Amino acid sequence: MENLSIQLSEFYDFLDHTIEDTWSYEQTESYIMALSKGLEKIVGKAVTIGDFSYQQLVSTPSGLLVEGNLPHYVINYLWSEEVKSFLILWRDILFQQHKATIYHVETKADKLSIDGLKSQSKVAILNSKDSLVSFFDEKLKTVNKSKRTIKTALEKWKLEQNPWQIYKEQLQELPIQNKQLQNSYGNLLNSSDYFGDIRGIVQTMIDTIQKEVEKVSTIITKTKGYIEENITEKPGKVVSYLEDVEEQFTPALFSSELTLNLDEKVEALESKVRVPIDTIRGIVQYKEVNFQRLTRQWLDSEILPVVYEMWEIVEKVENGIQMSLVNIRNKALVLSKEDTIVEVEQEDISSSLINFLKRIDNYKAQLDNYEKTIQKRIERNLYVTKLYETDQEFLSIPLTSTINQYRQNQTQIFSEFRNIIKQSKQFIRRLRNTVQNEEILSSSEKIVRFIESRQLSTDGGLYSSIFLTKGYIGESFWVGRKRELNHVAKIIKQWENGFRGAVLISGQRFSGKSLFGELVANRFFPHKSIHVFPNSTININGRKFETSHNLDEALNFIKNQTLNDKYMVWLDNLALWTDVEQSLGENVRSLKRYIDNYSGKLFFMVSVSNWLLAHLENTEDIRSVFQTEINLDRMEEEEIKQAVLIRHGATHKALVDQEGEEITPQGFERIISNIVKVSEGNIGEALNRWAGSIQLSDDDRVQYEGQLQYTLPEFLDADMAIVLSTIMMEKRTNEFRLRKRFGVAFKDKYRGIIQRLIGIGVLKRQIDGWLMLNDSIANEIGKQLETKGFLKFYH
Amino acid sequence: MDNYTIPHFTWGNFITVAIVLIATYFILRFIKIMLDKADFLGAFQSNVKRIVNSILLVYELIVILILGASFILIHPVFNGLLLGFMAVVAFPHIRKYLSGRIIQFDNVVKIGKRLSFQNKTGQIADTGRLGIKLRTTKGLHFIDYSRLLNEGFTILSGEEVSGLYQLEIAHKAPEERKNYRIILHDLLASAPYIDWTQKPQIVQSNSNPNQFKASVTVKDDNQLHELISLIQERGFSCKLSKK
Repeated sequence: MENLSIQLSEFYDFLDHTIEDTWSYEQTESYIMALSKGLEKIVGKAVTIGDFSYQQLVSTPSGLLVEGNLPHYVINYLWSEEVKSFLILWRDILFQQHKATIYHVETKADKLSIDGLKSQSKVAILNSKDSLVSFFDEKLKTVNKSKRTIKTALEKWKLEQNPWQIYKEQLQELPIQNKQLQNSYGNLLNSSDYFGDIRGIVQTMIDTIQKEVEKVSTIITKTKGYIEENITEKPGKVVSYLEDVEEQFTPALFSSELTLNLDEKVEALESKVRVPIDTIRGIVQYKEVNFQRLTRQWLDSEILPVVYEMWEIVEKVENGIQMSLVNIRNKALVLSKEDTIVEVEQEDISSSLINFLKRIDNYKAQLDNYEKTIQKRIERNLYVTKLYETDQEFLSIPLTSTINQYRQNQTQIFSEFRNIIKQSKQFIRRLRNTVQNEEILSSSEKIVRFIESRQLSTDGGLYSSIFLTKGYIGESFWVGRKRELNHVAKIIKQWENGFRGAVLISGQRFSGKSLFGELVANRFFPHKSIHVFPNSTININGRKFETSHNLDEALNFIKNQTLNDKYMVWLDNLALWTDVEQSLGENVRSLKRYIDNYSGKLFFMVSVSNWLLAHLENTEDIRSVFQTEINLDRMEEEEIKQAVLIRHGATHKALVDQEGEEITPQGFERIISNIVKVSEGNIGEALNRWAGSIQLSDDDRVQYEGQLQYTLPEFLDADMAIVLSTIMMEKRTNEFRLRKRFGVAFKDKYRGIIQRLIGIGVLKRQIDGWLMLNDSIANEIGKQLETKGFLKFYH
Repeated sequence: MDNYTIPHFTWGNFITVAIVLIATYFILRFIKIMLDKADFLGAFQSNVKRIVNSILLVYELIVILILGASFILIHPVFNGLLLGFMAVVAFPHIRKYLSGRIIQFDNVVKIGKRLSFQNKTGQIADTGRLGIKLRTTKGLHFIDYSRLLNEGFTILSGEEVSGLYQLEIAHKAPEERKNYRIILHDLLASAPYIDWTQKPQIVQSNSNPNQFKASVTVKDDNQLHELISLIQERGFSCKLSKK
């Protein structure tokens, strides 16, 4: 008990000292800090006393009622509540002081009120302290009245759980609340500063506006005075004066700097804050406030529209003054040139200025109204202290403004909807125009359009040329065809073991037959391959032979010159082996004979188009002499991608899209995938399409443009189809040959068709006068011919 | 429990389904018209056109089936009986309609083509849902699709039609050592008029080795005469023996 008394005495002394000390600070901030620190210390000391009594009670064996424990019971069971009340009062004093300071900062409360609050707080806390001090002794005295009262009290408390732990928790909550109050106080002070700045900026905007109008008013007044003085005798001087005024007059621009500053201040506000706004029955009431959002909304709704209205008035005034000055100057100019002075005109000039001044006065009145509105609204809302007014929402937007905003938003939604309708109408109109344009295009125009879309741009330069180079350009550019190469390798191996060596390479135009043959020759028969073309020279071991269109003679020479060696005979494009005197059938029969007789010694490789192969199969049963046929119509997408990449990489240029952004790997994959689909896996077509889609951007970059996708219209009738299928079979021909093939009907009928086909670009005449199908559409023509049953385009 | 397993269809549902199907039909028709008139899709246009055409061909059937099923679902017993009765009554027409779909899938019977059916030969003037109208010298004949399918018909013009002809060919001034069979074979192999999907048959005469009978297929009657002229130009005599 003695120990407890000493502790209590010390505690009470501490309280006295702390109160005196705290209330001694003159400076508000120091006072607040002292309140905050005082609270923490008092809590600490009170908890110490409570813990001490609690330990005493806990250490007593249960069931034992010890009279000596009575003070500790009083401390834990009764005194704790009293000290809690004291500390809550202290906390509330702190909260109220925060609130008062903010009011004072926002000039809503004067120093006198603050000082009054401080005094009242001191009185309250002293009273509470006195009550606390006397509480323990009084309660102890009451309980100690008699043995009976002691026993009753002890028994009662024994049955009840010791509430000290709960009180302790509650007391220890107070320093946490203290911190929250301090943080929040700091935030509110900052927000108050920013609000002050915002009010300042708004006022600056208003002042700027008012000044502008005042400036104009002054100019008008001075000008009016000058005109009245000088217009009669010196109208010319008036003109110069007005010119000077016009020159010096610079219309003000709405300060974006002010708006930026405003935005800056709003951005600086806290977004989500928990603000204490009141204490009710010991519980602090908090409110979640998003200062930034609320302020922005409120300014956008309540202040800025009015400011913009004011600015519009300024612009009206300034535009008006400029026009007036010009009019007056012109009138004065007229006056200065005329010999007689017209009285009416002078009055006219003066009165226009007077009227303008009156209008300015009206505008000024409007501006004043607007200014008052803004100031009223600011006064009612844009203060942190408004948070404490629980009867209204903080920075609330009135219903009319909400409705206006809603209407604006609705208008926005409506206008967006209207935009969508408008865009849809435009789309339908464009579609209709496209359809109409398509309808008026003739078949020939569509064909020409198709051909033009497939023409390769000359802008590609060296970049395109690497994609368009046909034939073998080195192993480094070779990609894919692994399956086919393995197949050929197997046949070659078998041939080396004594079996027949004859491979037929078939495919569409640009499927890579020539390149494949060249590669096989270079890879498997280096320096041991004989390329056989009509009208060329074969050179074997120093012996030369000039070929004609007679394949038998050429093969005979080869057979005789290669008795001791194994060579590969490479016939690239069997279609070339025909002319007027030598039929293809005869040459094919010769070939078959040589393959049958000499394919053990010579390895024959022959390339032929799908359609010619189908024809020769029907006429000459050509497939029977070959060991295998390898068709090159389709290449794998991955292989085509590699082919494009290798070539593109060799150019050392970056590939960009139409916005100049480098195309990502995924974008590249998509482009390739599309090209492969459209070209049906034909490698040559794919490379051509790629080259056609590329434009040179600069020295280091190329731009992917994409190619316009048109279809070739179905334009073939039976006669045209016959001509085109004949030319496709031969690959290149001339009128003389065609005349031989078609007979007398050529002159009357088919020559005209050929001319027409040349005219629309389907056929091309080469430098030597020979005819060929236009490379860019050869395969498309082949597809149409297959559809009509004139040849077999697909394998 | 049963109420939850049996779908409950109302007249409202039926009308909704009908509206959706009709709207879809018009959209498909619109797309078809657009695709026919203008080039939107580049290389993919022909494939898309084909798909749209195929869908439109069977679309009516799909609509009838769906609407029929929806109708039955409203009141299975009564409506089912009603629909069944209508199907029985309209069965011949349904058969004609289905036969028509089958024929039109082949894309052979089109307006403008010449067709022969039984003893009637003429040009197809119109293709309807149940049959075709054939314009002959005697007038306009209506032939339903089920008869066309059951009894067979002949298309006389268009890419599908080739003419098989037999020619009698002989060299006008034969030389001893020349193999005119091979020469003729090569000539026909290089002649653009021959349809080589049907390989020509050349039969040498037993009595005269320079005389041949050749069965050739040409695409068009006009080209037959051009072929004959070509053969004649090469020193052969050539006449048509029979079709």
